[in-house]
Amino acid sequence: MSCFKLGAVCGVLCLLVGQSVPASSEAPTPFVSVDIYIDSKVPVAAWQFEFAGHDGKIKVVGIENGASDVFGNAPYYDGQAISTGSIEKIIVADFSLHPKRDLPRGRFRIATLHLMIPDAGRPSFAAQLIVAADFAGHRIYPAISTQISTGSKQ
Amino acid sequence: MAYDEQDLDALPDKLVVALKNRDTATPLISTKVDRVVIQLAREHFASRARKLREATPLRYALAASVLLAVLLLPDGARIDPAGTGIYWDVDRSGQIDIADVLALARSRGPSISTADLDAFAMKIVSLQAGVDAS
Repeated sequence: MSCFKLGAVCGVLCLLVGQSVPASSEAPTPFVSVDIYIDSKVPVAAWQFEFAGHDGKIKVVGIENGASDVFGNAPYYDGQAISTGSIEKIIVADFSLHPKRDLPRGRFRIATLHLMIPDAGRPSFAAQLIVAADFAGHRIYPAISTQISTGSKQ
Repeated sequence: MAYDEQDLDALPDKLVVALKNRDTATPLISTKVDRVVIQLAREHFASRARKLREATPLRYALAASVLLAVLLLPDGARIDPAGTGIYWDVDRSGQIDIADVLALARSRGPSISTADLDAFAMKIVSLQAGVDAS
């Protein structure tokens, strides 16, 4: 076999081998964690917020509790809706019956949302505080903010 | 007026008899009887007035109670379709939210179970249609 023919055969073999290995054409789906903070001058006994993505480009896949122990292990949210994997917004709330001296104040994390971002790029979402209350049940108006804590790709 | 017996002879006998029969003593009502009758009448009408005075405040109280109940019932109050009877605007803020769960827990204390509070909170965060959480 001449060199030319040998080279041609090798080239064909390389092409065949290359085609047998599927190319990873899809970008990895990113997951991000978003911390939800409120900043209150008054000790907080209850809070409720709504979180939604813009243009339906995020999916909520999990929620975990915040930093304060007085609000229990996990906040209240619609776990059944999350399990369907199709929700684009979530309502999260919690309350505490702890004594007033134990209630958190200032800026503290109330929850962390785990999101799936189907499209590559910067996630767009917003958190809106629906209600917050102090120990006596009076409505208070702390500021709410979000912060992307970690990102992972799978 | 005294009349002469002889004058009656000119009248028919039937008429004479009839006139004589009607010539009876007029019944006299004594003062005692008069007082008794008046007293009975007064008592009768007094009892009627008393009944009327008793009934009117009762009706007014009933009407006021109904009006107060209508005014004091909070707008938007809902009863839990599941029948727990606790899903409502406890703090009368105009919306049902987690603050109502807190208010309910504080007002009921140990008389309300954690399970009921959890159920109330879960209804608030539910994304199902028909649950007005805000």
